[in-house]
Amino acid sequence: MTESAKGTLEIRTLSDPRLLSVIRATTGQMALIAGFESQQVEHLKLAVDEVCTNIIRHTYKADPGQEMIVMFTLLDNGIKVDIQDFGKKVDPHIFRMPSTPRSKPGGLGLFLIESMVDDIEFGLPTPVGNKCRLIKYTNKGGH
Amino acid sequence: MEVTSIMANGGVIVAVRGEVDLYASPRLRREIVRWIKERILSLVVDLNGVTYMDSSGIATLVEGLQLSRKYGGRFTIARPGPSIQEVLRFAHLDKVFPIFGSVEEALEAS
Repeated sequence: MTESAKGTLEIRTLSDPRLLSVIRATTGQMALIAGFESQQVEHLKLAVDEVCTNIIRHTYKADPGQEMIVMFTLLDNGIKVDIQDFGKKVDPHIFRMPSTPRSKPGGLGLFLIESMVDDIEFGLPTPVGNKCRLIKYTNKGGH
Repeated sequence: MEVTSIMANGGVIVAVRGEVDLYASPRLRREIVRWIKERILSLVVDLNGVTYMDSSGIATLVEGLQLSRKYGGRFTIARPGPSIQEVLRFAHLDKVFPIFGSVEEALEAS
């Protein structure tokens, strides 16, 4: 992974499902700035949306007033998106990717995330809550 | 998201427009379940106007399909755009749903 000084953008938002469209729109714009083509832009939007949806549904139990942070970092060869919540710590091992999209309830979202980005890391170190990282490269050999 | 239902040829067309996400999918679910409770024999979900769909939207369609099958109803999808078709394909559901290129075809197939 190569980070550059191209820029970062941080969104501090609430776990309100009405705001998901705003997160998607911002994700789309950042993906365009990072140099992705339209299909890849849609893939990143879906992946970020699915992570936020999981936080709203599972970590915050649909409470719309909790805080989430979505942090975009432009890389030389793609984009990194860190998504943080401030809920109860979750064992990152529960996010083991399902082998098929319907192998368990709720597994479809995780399966889609895995399909849409190049790297996913759950359980990043953070003093409170949970942090997840998505990375998507403009060229697949960009590691 | 907008949802409109139209009765046609003994079936019901549920036309959806806009983005189907965690916020919008409960409204789509309510509309689908409303017709399923009436045991409509042919329910066509027209996705022509849908610009985005996440896993909650897909789960809503899967539930509609499963509930319809319980009483012998037919649940079909019509006119999904390329991005929606791609999501269905990634989810391995493109072979599970009867998907048609037009609403008329979907109704005639019933």
